[in-house]
Amino acid sequence: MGDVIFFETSALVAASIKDLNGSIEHDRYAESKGLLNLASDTKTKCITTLSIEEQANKVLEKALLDVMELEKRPDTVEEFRKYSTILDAVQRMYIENISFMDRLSTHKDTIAEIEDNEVYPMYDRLNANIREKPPKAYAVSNKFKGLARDINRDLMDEHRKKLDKLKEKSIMPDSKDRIILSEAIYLKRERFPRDTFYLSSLDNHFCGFKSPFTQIPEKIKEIFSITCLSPQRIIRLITDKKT
Amino acid sequence: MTDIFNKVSIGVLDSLEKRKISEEFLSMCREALTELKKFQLTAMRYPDSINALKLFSASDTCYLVLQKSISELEQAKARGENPTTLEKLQDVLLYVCSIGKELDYIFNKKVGVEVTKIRKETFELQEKAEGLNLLDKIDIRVNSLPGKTAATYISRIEV
Repeated sequence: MGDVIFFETSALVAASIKDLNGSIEHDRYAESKGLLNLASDTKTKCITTLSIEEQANKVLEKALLDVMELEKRPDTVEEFRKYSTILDAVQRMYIENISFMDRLSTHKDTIAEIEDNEVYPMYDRLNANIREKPPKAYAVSNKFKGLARDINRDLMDEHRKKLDKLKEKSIMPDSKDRIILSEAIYLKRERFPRDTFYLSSLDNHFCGFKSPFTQIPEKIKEIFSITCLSPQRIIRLITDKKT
Repeated sequence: MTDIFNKVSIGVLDSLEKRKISEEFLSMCREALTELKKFQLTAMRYPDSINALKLFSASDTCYLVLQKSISELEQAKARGENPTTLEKLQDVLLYVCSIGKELDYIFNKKVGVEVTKIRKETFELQEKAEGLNLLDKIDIRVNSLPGKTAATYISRIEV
């Protein structure tokens, strides 16, 4: 029994963007790369899948396409060199990062089944729970009616804020993220049933860093025995275990 | 023209065997350099932007490495050196030839682009050339980029 770290797209991308101009790097670079370095030093198993690698690479490339669109397509050798240097730097770092990891194969049909029958329903139920109106407070006597009204107003304000946030980013992740979680579940069950399985991510759809997403990691842990944490939190846990 | 990279790779092995850097060999290298310059410009016109950058990077890396190598070989020849410089450079020169042949195939034979192999070889060549000081290290090259472009790039990362 040991620790296994499953690197999700966001953490893999962050670990690949370092010092693009002296000090400009991804704001989560240090912790993402730090986890990889720690895993390498402590011989902790790091794993990924082909779909994650492909997604991460697409993210790195798409961002550059966006910049080129904003700054207009380059037409001199110097400008081309500028953009190709960025692409080379991040993709070389990305290749170095995935070289620390084992790329594990998954079974496409089983992943689709897990997504349809377990992952989608879990997010769907969470979504329904979070959207549910908060229970109303009732005053036990007329004396507390005003207080109950205040509490209900605050609860409803908070609920409306939560719903507004959900308009910006839904509890239900897109299909790519659902497949990532399905792959993690598959690998946990098939390859690492007895290990502590971490999913390293910077995404609220897995780690639920802030409201209203905070219930997500608890649910994933409860149902699938997968601990979704930021690289920084995993670093702390592994360091504590080793000392 | 299209065989130039084959000629250079044979020239490398031939020169090593004869332990001599000939003017004929240097002339072939210069011809290959001209071809790589053309590849740079062709890559810049490639319709798919990401593949254009990857093909440009391959051409540009080969161009910069070969340019520096020619300069070192010319100095070695002027010193009348037994080809220790060529021995040092043979690996990178053979990489340049291999990538050059691939680029020629893509640009002149108009076949579908499969950049995976060329990309892998480009990164291997960059690492080897950086180790031999034929190319600035990627950290240095990337540090000289305009801050605005770097910041915009990071701001466009979406996961």
